Parts: sequence; structure tokens; C-alpha cells
Amino acid sequence: MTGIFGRLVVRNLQTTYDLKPALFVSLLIPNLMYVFIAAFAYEQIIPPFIINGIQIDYADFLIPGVVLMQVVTLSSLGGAMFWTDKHNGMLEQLYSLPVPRSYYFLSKLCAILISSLASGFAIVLLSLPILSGSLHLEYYSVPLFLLSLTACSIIFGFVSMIIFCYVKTPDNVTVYSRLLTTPLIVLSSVFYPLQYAPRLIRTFGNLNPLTYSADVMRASMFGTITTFEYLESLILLVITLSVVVAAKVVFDRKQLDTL
Amino acid sequence: MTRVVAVSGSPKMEKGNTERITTCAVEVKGVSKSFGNVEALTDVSFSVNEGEVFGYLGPNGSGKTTTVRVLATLIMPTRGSATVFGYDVQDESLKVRECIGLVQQGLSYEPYLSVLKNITLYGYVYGLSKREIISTSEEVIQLFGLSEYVNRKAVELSLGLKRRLQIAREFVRNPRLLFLDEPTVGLDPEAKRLTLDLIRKKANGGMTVFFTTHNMSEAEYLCDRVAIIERGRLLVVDTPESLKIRTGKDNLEDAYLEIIRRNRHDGNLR
Repeated sequence: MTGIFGRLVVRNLQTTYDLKPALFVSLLIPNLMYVFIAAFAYEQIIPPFIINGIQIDYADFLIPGVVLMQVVTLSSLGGAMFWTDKHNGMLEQLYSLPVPRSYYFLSKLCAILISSLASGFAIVLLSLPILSGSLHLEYYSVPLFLLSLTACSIIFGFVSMIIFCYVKTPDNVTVYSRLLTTPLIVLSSVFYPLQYAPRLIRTFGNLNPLTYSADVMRASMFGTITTFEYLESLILLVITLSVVVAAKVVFDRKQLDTL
Repeated sequence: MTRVVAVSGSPKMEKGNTERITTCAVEVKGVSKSFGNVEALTDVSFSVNEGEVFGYLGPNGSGKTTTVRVLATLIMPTRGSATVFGYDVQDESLKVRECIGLVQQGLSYEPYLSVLKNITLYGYVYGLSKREIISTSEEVIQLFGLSEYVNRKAVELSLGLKRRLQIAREFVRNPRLLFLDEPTVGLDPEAKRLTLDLIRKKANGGMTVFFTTHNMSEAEYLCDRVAIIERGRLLVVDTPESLKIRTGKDNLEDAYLEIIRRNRHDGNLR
């Protein structure tokens, strides 16, 4: 049964990317423009600021946020992948395979994790010329870095799949994708330090898992981990587990005749 | 154990294959299925013998697809029980799924993959070896006349070609029981005949086929036995020949219409 699970993961990757590197690269380019164009432009008007006791340039600040934006973008494809299967009759076909239904969703999640983590790492690597001065990734911060990436991918992957369980028409696919990702990215610490934001935005930001992911990732990349980041990691872990449980409940309840 | 005698006059009968001892592939006992207040199946019972082509006939919305979905473990029955090769569709769904193949009524394909990749990927997911995938995919691509489209994306194909691809994909492997839910819809006459003959060939090789249609000539050409269902109730199960004799009609279509007419008449009287 493990074999068929692995084959389902490969199938998900193949049907989404057709295993073509060009498509994978094209998904990187829009977010890399934030790193190489927007960050430098904003740096001209945003002076360096202090986070966790260290002075940081806006370009350095933005890069971990962009990594997470990439993870969010690719993880949200999970819902679209699921919808494409549903729309083209493949969901029913794959449901007739001799594996538990949960394998279908878990294999989707696995494919999402592989693609989003690969593209997250690709952005970190491509941003190294800019980051090299401030990057302090230590052995003890790597687990937090990975937790931040993985949790973000699981949360957004599963949430998008849950939403797409209820989507009935193709015109809603783009709308729901945008509605899921844009507000969550803007109302988080991806683009700006939340502590400097107006109170209302700060309140929303503190309810947003992406804020915790971004904070933990920044602290792990810049070597500024404090007890606060460990606490944020714990909150992130709890949110991730809650989303996994919610996803299981929805996927179990939504039988094929109601999808 | 059931003794099945194949009837003559169609590809159903092959030399030396006129009589077979078979076991039960599908057994349905008092199955009902409701969707909210709508009862799609009401107390349906029948059995399908191993190695036979069983036709499941009925008008649109009669419950044919619902029956297939229950037997393929895609949905659960509201009442009653069903087994496939002795495995319960509710409690042993994974075992059931190991034995079955499914060609759904609606189209199903990977839209952005080529025809070749659609077929080979499915073989891969099912765990066929590379050699098996290559040899069988070449064979089915030729058989279903898809050779000139192998590199074309599935989404770019016409309806009929998509349907051919969908059926071809299922023939890459050899399930013990194949559900074909109105598989010939959208096929041209040549592809339709090819598909029916291929189904018969597979059945002669031991595969059990559960074939739903509302095309009576197809059922008469192909099926060993047929069941007629209307408004979720099973009306009759018999061989096409017996149904023609029982209704005094020359062909299955007339026999079918007569059975449906009588049922509606009796229903109105009740």
C-alpha cells in the first residue's frame, strides 16, 4: 500500500507540473521579482529597522516573507489540483483504487510539500547574494526553519482543499484562490513588521498563521531566536494540527455524492 | 455455483465455450440508496456470475449509475448488502477495489497530459511493471485507433476520442470485474463495435463485465444476461433470448419496451 501511495504522489506531481522544469521555474519568477526588484525599490524609502535587537535592511526582511509567499502560492494549488481531479472525473477514478480515501488527500499534500519546499529552498538559494551578510542559519535553527516551511505548506494546502470541496463551478476556482491567499499574505508579517502596523491590522495579523511562520522563519534565518519564537513555533504547531484534524473531518464527511 | 449456458447468434458464443461452470462475482441483496428524500434504488437484488457479460438496462435516471457506484464502493447503500467476489462493499471496500476496474459514465482523463501519458501513468499508478506498461499501452493505443493522437493532450481531443482514451486506459490492466457505465456514449459505430468486441474478448478470457446501457442493440449483441431497472426498482433478470420469448417480441428493444410498458401499466393500476 506504501507503493501505491508513492505512485499517487508521483501522479499528482506529473499531472500538475508534467514534470517539466520550465513550469516550476515560471512559478518562481513572480515572487523572485519581489526579491530583486520590489525589495530594492522599497529599501530606498524604508530605512533599516530593529528586530529582536538586530538592525535589518528591508530587502533582508522581505526575503523570508517571499519564501513563504512562494510556499503559500504552491500550497494553494492543492485545492486547484483537487478541483481539477473532481472536474475531470479523475477523483471518482482514483477513489476506485484499492487504497483508503485519506491516501488521496495525503498524497496531494505530499506532492504539495515536495513542490512548495523545493521552490522555497530555491528562493533562499537564489537570494543568497543579497542575504549572505545577514544569514545566520545554525544547526539549532534549521528545525525551526523547516517547521515554518512545512507548517505553512500543510495549513494552506489543506485549507485550500477544504475550500475546494465546496466549489462547484470553474469560475469560482480563481476567485477562491485569490480570496484565500491575498488577505492572508497582506494581513501578516510577510511584507512589514507587525509591531509597527496599526492596531487593527496587528490584531488580524496575530490571528494569522502566516505571521507565526514568517516570524519563526526570520528568526531562524537571522539567528535571532528567542523564547518568543519558540512559543510562536508551538502555536504554529497547534494551528497545523487543528487544520489537519479539520481536514480529516471534512474529507471523511464529504462523501463522493456530495462533492 | 451456477451453471450458465451462453446463447447463440452473437459474439457471445465461442467454440468450446458454450457451457461454463461459474461462481458468483456480484451478489446484491435488497439494496436501497437514498439521496435526501429521493430514493434512487429500492430493494434491488440480483447476482452476476463470474465470466459473464451482465447488461444492466434502464431509461435515463433509472438507477443504473447509482448501482454501479454502490458496487464500486464509491457510495454506500442506505439499506441492504452487496458483495463482489464475496467481499462486502461496505466492510471490505479495499478488497472489492482490488478486484474491479471502472469506466464511468462521465468522461475521466488527465486533461493536460498526452494520450500516451494518460495511459502509461494509469498503468504506473496500478503498479504494472515498465515492460507491461509499454507493451499493453502500445496494444490498446493501436486497438482503439489512438496511434495518431499519442502526443496530443487529452483536453484537445474530440468527445469520441476522449471516450476511447478512457476505455483504453482501463484495458491496460486486467481487473476480475469491469464496470462499464454507458461506455459507448459518444463513440462512432466503428469504435463502438470495436469496444463491444473487445469486451467480449475479455469476458471470454475470464473477465466479468457489468455493462450498463440504454442501447438495446448493444445489450443484445453483447450480454449473456440482462437486468432491467426502472425508477430504482429491478423489473426482471434473464437472458435476452428468454426476454424475447417471454414478451413475444423479435428483438430486445421491443421486449424491453414491452416490459417497461407493462410495469408502468401495473404501477398505474396499483
